[in-house]
Amino acid sequence: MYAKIALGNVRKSFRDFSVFFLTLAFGVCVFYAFGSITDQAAVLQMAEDQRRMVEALVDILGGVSVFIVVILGFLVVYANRFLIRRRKREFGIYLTLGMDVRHVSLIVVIETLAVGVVALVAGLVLGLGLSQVMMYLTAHMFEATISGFVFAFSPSACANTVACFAGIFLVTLVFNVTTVSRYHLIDLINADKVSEKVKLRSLPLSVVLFVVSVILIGVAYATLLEHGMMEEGPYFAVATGLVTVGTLLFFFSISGFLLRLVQTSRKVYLSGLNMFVMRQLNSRINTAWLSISLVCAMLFVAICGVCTGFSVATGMNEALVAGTRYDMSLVSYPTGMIGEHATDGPAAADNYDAIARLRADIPAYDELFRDAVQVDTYDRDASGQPLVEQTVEWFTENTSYDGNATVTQMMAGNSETLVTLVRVSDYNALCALIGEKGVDLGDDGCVWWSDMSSLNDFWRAAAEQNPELTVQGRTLRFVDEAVVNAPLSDTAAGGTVSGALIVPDDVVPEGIGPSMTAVNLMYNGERAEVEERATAAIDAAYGDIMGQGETIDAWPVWNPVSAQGLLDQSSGTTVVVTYLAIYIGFMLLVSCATVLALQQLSEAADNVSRYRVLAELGAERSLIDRALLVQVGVYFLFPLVVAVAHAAVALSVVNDIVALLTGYQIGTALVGTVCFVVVLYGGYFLVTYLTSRSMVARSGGGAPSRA
Amino acid sequence: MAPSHSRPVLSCQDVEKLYGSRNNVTRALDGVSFDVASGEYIAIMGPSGSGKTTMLNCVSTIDRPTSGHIYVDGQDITALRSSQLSRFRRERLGFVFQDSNLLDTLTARENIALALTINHAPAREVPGRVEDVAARLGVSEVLDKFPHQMSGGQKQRVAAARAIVTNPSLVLADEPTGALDSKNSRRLLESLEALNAEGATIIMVTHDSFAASYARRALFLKDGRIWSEIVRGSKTRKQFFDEIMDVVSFLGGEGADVR
Repeated sequence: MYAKIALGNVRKSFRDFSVFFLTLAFGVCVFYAFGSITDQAAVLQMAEDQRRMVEALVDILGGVSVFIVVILGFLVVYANRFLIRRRKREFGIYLTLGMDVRHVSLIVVIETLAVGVVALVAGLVLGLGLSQVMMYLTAHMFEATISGFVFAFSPSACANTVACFAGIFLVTLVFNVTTVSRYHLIDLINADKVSEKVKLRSLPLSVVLFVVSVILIGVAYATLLEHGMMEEGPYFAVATGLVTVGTLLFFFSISGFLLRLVQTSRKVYLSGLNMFVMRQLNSRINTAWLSISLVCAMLFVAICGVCTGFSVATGMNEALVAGTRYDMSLVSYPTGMIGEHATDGPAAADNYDAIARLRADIPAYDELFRDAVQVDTYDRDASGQPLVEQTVEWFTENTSYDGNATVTQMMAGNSETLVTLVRVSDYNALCALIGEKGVDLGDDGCVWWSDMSSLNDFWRAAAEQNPELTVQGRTLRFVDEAVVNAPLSDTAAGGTVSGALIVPDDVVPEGIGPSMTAVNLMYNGERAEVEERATAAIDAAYGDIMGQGETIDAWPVWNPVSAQGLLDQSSGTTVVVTYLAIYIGFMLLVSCATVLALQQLSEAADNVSRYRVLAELGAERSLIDRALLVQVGVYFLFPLVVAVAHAAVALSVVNDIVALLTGYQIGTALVGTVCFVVVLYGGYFLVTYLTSRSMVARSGGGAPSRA
Repeated sequence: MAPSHSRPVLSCQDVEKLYGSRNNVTRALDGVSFDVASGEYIAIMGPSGSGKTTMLNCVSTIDRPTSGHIYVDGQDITALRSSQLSRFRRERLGFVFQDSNLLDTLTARENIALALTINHAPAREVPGRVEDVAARLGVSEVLDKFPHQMSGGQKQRVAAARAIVTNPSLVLADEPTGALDSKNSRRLLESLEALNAEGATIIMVTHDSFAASYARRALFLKDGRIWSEIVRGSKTRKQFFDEIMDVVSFLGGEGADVR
């Protein structure tokens, strides 16, 4: 009998259960889809190090999932609390009819279980579909192939999902039963009559607090924009603190402020239901401001996470394209990497000719490589004195650069770094290797060399403001295009050289050892075909010295980088970062939207009697609907707007860092993120509005005629 | 004062309301016909189940009669489409309920003003009209209080102010004194009487003979029909009250209401 009552309840008030159901189903779906990545990968044909990358991804996702489960658990309990609260009176009736508290609990248990099981099954089915889509997406991102149509089902992910949600259910059940059994009959019966005491804050205070909050947020924005995230000192912490307090105050005071604002215009205030809506918002914000602030914070994290994730991923891809122009780069430090300035190493014995050494050591050299260019950078002369008197710090101090704070910050951090010299013939040979135009310096010209595109503006400004330099007794002038950008060597890091000075060959003194040597090689044949043999040959010749012991001894290879290797490695990283961003962003977004939806629905339930009064006073249905739309809209929109504003400022700073590392601008990712947010969040908003509207309509508010 | 012979504000013609299924019909209203002239103040009385609340619901368009016609200002409201109903309600009717039904998030001033703003009254007129009506009902000093800061009587008078601020054709009061003590009842009834004297047409549903004695005419319903009607005419309120009491005790069941 109790099962019959319970199932009947669910059937009759399916709308009330819908948010609970949706939240559960979404949660299960995403949880399963990401949990099944290992098994998806199993059917893909991919390289070994890509497989390692997938394993790393699975590990990270596993960690993140714990966090996600906690959030989901919180959500489910919250959604459920809304259901229970709405039905106090119904429970009261059961009790007056002589039902035992245990039986009422049983009804609740059956209801929760019924909805939960259906949601679990629906979620799993959806999850299967999603994981199938993700499998093809993963395959695409790893550039792996799937042979034919494959249907991947992951028993372990399924079991994990069921176990996690069973746990969450259990918590919910315990929570429900204790809540129900703690009710007193009198409270249940009177539940409808006791309305929340309307506490009121003084309006002038709200206005003052609002102004203060806006100032705090403004100061925080200014601090962050001026000092960036990397600068030493308390700036970042201060900005975070200010913006947190500011946001809390903002939501605490906004409704009072708006009320006062609208009241000043009699025309607006005394029109339609405006007065009612403003008062309504003001009366509720007392209890809602904290949760709204929380939602705002979660939205902020979601937007920043998704945005940064996407742009890091895309940025890395783009950096990779720029950083894999040569088939292979061999980097060494002939005079020591940490300033030893040794002149007695193996490099000196070879007269610093790395290519000759490679030819001698690798039997199949000519078979493997069709072309090679050696670039040397010099920082000190034979006696150990810097070749260029001015350090990078000197240029930073003597260049007024009003670009972003992060660049200035990073440049200022290079205080001891010496400006290095590069022979123009080396640079031009490099350009010829990749088919780019070289540079003509004449007798006494010079240019800055930077392959980090985000620093171009800085070096251009430096050349403009310090157009002449005296190097080794020669006065050099910067030529018209003062910055050149060919990549120094293969890298995934978005650039390796910044602030090297390319000078006429005879400016560099004869017979000194380079601080760094890069040999860029082109394979004799297709990159993918030669790759394996080439790396094996390098390994065979230098496996015992590369990356080990003293840098001086690792001649001519300290660090070998191959384009193919970089591509293989980072395609995986892109997937990891993208998936993480989507996973976390999606979950946070769903959580926020659910909290707001439930809050609004429970509010609509409490407000039904007020809307009935409006209907009795003759307010039109459309007027009431609009009032409802505004109320729900404000709750959804305000945290989003504030979060987007915060995110825009934070991202503009993060952008500087991402751009510095990868040369990619976040703005591009923002469009996609906004679409993502609008669809998901907007969907919840719509469901909430429609459900509240039908709740009001059903109870007689807005549609009092029963024909 | 006899009912004036101007065109009736409200005219009910053979109104029937049936509830229930085909096999089990309850006749809540069984052919009720009566007119209310402009400026009248009538009380509808009757024991529980006599159909008085159903009658009021039909007049207020909260419910529709099964058959028969109800005309307000010559317009047949039983033929109105539901989209026209809210317009009819806000332009022609004012309600006073047993529980004042004020919005607890709004001040008294805003509660009264709301009736006007829903009615699309020009914003510049609103404050003046609210002050006026509040003065007439003696609630000027509580205008800036919230409902939970007011007494029951004050709330009811604010509700009455809200009902008449739009100058409705008809003021419908459903047991307006039901939740009030005798002192506050008297105060409210005097207010309604004064409103009537200024020209408002009032229909009050009550089972309280004392409240009914403030009206100019009393209709008695029993089993869904008009059972009798008495007119106050030039009688004092006390005499009218005694007359009502006679009918009530004759009708039976409501004698316990004697105060």
